Amino acid sequence: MIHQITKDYETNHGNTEVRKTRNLGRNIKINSVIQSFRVSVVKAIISNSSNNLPNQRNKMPTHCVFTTEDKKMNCIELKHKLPDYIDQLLDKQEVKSVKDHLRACRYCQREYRLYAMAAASVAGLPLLSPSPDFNSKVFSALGLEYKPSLFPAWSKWAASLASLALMWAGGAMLAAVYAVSKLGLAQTYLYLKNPQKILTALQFALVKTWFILSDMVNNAQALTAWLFKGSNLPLQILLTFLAAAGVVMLAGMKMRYQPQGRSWNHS
Amino acid sequence: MPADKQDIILVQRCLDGDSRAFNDLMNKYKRQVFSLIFRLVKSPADAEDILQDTFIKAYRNLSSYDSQYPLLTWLFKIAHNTSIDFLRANKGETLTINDEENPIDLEDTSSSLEEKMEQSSEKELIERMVDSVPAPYREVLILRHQQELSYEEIAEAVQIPMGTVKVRLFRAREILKTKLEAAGYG
Repeated sequence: MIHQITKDYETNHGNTEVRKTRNLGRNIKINSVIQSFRVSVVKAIISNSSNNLPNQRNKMPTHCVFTTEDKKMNCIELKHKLPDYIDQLLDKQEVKSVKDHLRACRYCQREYRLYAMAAASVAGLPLLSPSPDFNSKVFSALGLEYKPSLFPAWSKWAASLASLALMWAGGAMLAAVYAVSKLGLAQTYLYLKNPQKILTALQFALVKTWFILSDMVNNAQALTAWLFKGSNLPLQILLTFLAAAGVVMLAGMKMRYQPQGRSWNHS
Repeated sequence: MPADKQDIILVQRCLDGDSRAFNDLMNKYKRQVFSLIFRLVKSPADAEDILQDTFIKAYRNLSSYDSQYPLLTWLFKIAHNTSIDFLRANKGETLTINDEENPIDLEDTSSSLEEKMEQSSEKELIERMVDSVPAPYREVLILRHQQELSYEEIAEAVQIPMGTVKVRLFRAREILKTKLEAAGYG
């Protein structure tokens, strides 16, 4: 068996190391021959594949020549496992065997790369949209009155903007509280009576508020960074706004949906 | 994988006569279903007509929806059947194939692909390669990798045994892999 494989490999690739291994194999135990043969073939594949196999550089060997150290998987077996590996359907042990094999075998690495690229190219296809008036066409075909959603696509942006506005309103309130606490109500009132002073006071309060908010934002950022390790700042801010928008929308939907058999009107 | 709770609520609201819920349902899934149909029939106008038929059939048969499978899988099933009817009527490509008898056509498209590569971007080229995979294989590829359906869900949507899903997926990847290889990738 080993001689046949060796012969095949010599015929295909003309490797002298393999020939030496075969000669040695006549004098020593067959197990050590198999082992050294495997090592030499692996070395030959890794070091000479691009030079000695110009025409077959990218081809999977027609027969199995590579077996991982634990002898659990050869190239042919791996090829059968690759689809399940890509689909993440293998158990831990099988995944380990596939990874070990891929780490060592460049033929299979290339095979895997192509399969993964095939999968990724399909996954990366854009999702397409029908025409904007599609929904109304369906409603008209069904003979129903078209009622657009209560929460259209732009509602999440509106919710985000509302969240932002609320945040600034909170900041303005803090500024007012700060001004009153520092200047007193009467002084603040006097300031507010003079339009020019209002602007000065407002600027002062805004700057102070900005610092306070900066501290708050820094603290919030530290907390968020701790909560979402590995994420970046824009993503964290986006997540916060989306969460706020989500809460608003969910609350709206809960209010809107009335389960069958129940009514808000108890009468 | 059972249906999403929110979808079950939407379906129930539709059955209760809330047409706004059906609008929400369409907004949620029309892009996924349209993308699949478009990849099968390759014409935006035809795809939109089939999508419209799909949602009309879905609305009329909502009561027969089995929440054992996700709503999207059910919509894909209707879209698949509607697309088959359309393709049969237009005598174009067919979505049925005998997996045992039909060997994979692995023609070497390298020269034409090289020419195309010069003319179009990589993204367009890959898109064209996916579109050139025979429809029955292309369908399972899209359901698996773009829509991320499980083998079981694909079997339900395309109405073929799970073993056939595996065979088709294997062959589909093999075809696409060969095309990528021919175009100089890897």
